[in-house]
Amino acid sequence: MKTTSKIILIILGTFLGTLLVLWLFHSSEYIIHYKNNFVRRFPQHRVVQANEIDLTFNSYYFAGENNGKIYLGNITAPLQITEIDTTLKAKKTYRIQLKQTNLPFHAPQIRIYQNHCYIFEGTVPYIFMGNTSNWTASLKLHSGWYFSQLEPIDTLNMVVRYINPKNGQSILGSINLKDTTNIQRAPTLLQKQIDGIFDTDGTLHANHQINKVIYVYRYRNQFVVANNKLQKEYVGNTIDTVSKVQIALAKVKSHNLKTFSKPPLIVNKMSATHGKYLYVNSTLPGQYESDAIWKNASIIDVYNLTNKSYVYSFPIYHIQNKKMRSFTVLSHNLYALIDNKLVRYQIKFQ
Amino acid sequence: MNRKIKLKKVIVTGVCYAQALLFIYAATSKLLDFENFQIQLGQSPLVSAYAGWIAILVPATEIVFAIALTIPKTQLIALYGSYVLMVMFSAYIYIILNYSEFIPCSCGGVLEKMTWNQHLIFNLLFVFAGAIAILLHYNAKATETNHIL
Repeated sequence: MKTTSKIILIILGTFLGTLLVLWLFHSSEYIIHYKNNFVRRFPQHRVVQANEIDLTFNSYYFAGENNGKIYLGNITAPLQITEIDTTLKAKKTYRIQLKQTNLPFHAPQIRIYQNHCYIFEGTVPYIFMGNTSNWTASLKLHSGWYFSQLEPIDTLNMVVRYINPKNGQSILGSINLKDTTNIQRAPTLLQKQIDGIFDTDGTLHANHQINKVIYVYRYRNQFVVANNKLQKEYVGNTIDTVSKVQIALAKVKSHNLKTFSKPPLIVNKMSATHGKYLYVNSTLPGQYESDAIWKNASIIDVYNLTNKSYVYSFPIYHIQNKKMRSFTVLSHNLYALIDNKLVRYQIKFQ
Repeated sequence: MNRKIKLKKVIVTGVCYAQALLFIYAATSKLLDFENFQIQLGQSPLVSAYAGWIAILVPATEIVFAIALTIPKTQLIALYGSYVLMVMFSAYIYIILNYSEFIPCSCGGVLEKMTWNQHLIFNLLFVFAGAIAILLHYNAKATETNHIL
């Protein structure tokens, strides 16, 4: 072989090699973000633990946020509301006064949206509305279908997950607190796969930045995105492969109830949304992942709701072997309730 | 003249053996900790989606080339193959450093101690040596046959 043809071959080889790697890079990136084959991406130092505050008890839950403050409800002191600034420096506690007290209170929950507070219990049902300046609330709704979750879409409109009295199935709907006869139901938003009760279980969110209602299914790899009028926009997929609910149910005839006959396969345990992102705590390890990370952390997958892509994943490590119980995201911070603590993590966007 | 040929032969053989040694070392360190290697590839911003088969393909290719480099008959073709492979490894590092969303942690074995930039230079040295060996290989063989004739 002549030296010139060798040089040509070498140059050709250089191009070929470079092009092959470039092609691998582009197609791999496309697959990861848009057609993910259950390969998680864990970029380092994207979500960094910042500080924490000790709450003394582990009975708190996230009630909402307003104006640089996070609000926590407490299931053992249902009308107590704890206000903490977003840097976790100052903490204040208030007690909500209800104007009507002759209702069967069992486990009222609180939501905060802007300068309003909502106290509700879907199994009675009732909804109180008040404001955060004097923490006094009055009864707005005390009739209608039972519901199991509530999130404020805006100050007057609430999205709820109703329980259909005919068959017990879950239906998303909305309530207007000024005109409680103005009730909307979206019977096709949640898709039944087995019984319409257990299989449609999930977490309801109202995203106030992009004005969407999001419902993340608990037992399958899907989430529903709808507009504030509860019109379906699309059904997104989480990166795992559980498209069919894997639960087995058994009927207990003597009590006329249904229950799980074996532990269900939970896919999406909890979730949160802020801006154009959806944050999902998944319970399923993906391909090529180390066992260590699953033993020591809860994994959160991030999805972009506007371009419908998977972005990345990050771990929230257990604290003294206690798992994250709940979390929420507020612009550049993630807040997690772990054991008796509220922990803040900074999210670095690119 | 004879001395020159000998020197060329020594260089070509030297490059072949160094390359073969590198491949054998790299392949064994990957295969010994295969699961970890797959995890690392899954975290690589370039090939994460293909981590499954690349994890097998890369060490397999390295072993095949390493053997071919030591057999005189297949030496030249193996030199071309190794050259392209080293170009790919270099391009891989270059893209990671310049275009990827994030920079993952480094490779296994002794190479782990190197930074990405050192690794790139290390690879480019092999690319360069490989090209030289390809160019010298022809001459060595041709003069050999001439010599016999």
